[in-house]
Amino acid sequence: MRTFALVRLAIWRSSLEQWTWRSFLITIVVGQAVTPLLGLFVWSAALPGSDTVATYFVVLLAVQLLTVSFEHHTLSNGIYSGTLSGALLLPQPVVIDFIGSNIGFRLWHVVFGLPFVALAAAVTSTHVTAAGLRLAVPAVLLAGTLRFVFTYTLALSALWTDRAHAVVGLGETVIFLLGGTAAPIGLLPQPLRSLGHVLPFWPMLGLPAETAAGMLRGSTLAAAYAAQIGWLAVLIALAVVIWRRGLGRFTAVGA
Amino acid sequence: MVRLLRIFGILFSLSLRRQVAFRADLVFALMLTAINLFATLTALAMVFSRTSSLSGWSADQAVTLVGTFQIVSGLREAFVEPSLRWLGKQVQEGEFDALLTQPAPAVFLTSFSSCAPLALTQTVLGAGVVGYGLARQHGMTPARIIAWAVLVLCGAVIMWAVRALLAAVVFWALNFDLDIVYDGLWRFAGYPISIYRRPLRLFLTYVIPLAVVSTLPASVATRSASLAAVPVGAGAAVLLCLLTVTVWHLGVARYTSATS
Repeated sequence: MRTFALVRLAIWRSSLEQWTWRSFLITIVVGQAVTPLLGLFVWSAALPGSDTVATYFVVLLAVQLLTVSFEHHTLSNGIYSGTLSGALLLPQPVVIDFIGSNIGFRLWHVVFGLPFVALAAAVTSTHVTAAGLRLAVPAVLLAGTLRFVFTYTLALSALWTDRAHAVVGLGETVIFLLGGTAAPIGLLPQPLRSLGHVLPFWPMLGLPAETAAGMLRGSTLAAAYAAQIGWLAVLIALAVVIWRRGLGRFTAVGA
Repeated sequence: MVRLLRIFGILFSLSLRRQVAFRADLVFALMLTAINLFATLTALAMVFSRTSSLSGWSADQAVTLVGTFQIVSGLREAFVEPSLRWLGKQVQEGEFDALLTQPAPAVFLTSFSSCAPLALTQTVLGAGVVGYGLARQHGMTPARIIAWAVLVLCGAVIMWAVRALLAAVVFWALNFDLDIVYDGLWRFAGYPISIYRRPLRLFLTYVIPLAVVSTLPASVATRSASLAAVPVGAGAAVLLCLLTVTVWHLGVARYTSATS
């Protein structure tokens, strides 16, 4: 209960702080919207008349905004500047402030990104059902958590190297290729399609988009949820191990 | 002009020596560039595994376009971004004063005062991709290759002019940083302009002519587009340069140090 209260407080504090540089925040939202929009344009040109592809990319745009993660800026920069030492002294788990900051960012992304989603849906033949959206809610929550844990784990590389931003960038490149941004996973050629289905990147982005677009149903959807939960457990365990090993190396400024 | 080129040469040499001093960074930069290029080409291959034509562009033509885009992107990362990225902060904190006291135009120093020569690996890899794409074309003529090269040069000038123009917004709106918006717009140039809907296509052709960066050179080289595109591209580059220099003069005149 205390943890939830602390998280709520961290979200409130972070979102207020983020509001103070809202003009910059809007430009970040524009930047985040570009990749799914490019996918929409490219695949609409490649497969003209395919309503499913248009719907998928419009929903993917919404999922992208709902799952953005910037831990390479919050956590890694905190490690580089030494401000993480202040967080280590607080009587709460270090991760709470980063969760608050992450959710704050996502809230503003939804607020400022909603016009983009609405516009994209209006000019394409987007068709989503209420049932599809209901089924996608848990998938989006799990995807958001997965993406946070994944980015957080990669951002911890700042404890070993000064190239954490590039490490997170590499992770984002893999999400782009195998997560469903470069192409819906079902349109990938083999063996990339099979690889995409077993790795944790599709559950971070493409899976909730496919669920909302009505492309996943029944037992396939149940298996997809199981994969999300399984990968979440694996990535959390990995994050804990890396945090414990890396923390010993932290020496404030100069880590 | 010769003096500016000499200053540019010295700045580039200093930046290069600074960067090659860290060999691990050199290897890492090479690796990252290669991975990003691989990802871009893989994404393109995914599209062409489902279709043989992307708005009239074949796979080989699209590869030439991607290579051309990589060449100009490398130039952007090597010469323009390392300096212009900091303009907003310099104006906000009054550090821009120091540039105004230097014996060279402010727009020149702000654009090219520091470089990232390692980013030129992207240009080199892009040239390799273009070479591969062109080698698979039939009926290539030296005139078309020269026209492609001239248009790439025009594209590079337009890339700088638009970037500097957007950066100059800071002289009027101190907290309005358009760096990320330009990054986003820039990525639209990585695909044929014809895939976009009409309003966006017109915007990228006539308002912010990023079509000249990759679509126009690749069209001239691989799609038998008219060579008249060359003077059009050159005209657009000259006009944008004039506009950028004028806007910068007006912007610098408004600058009143840290209190501006």
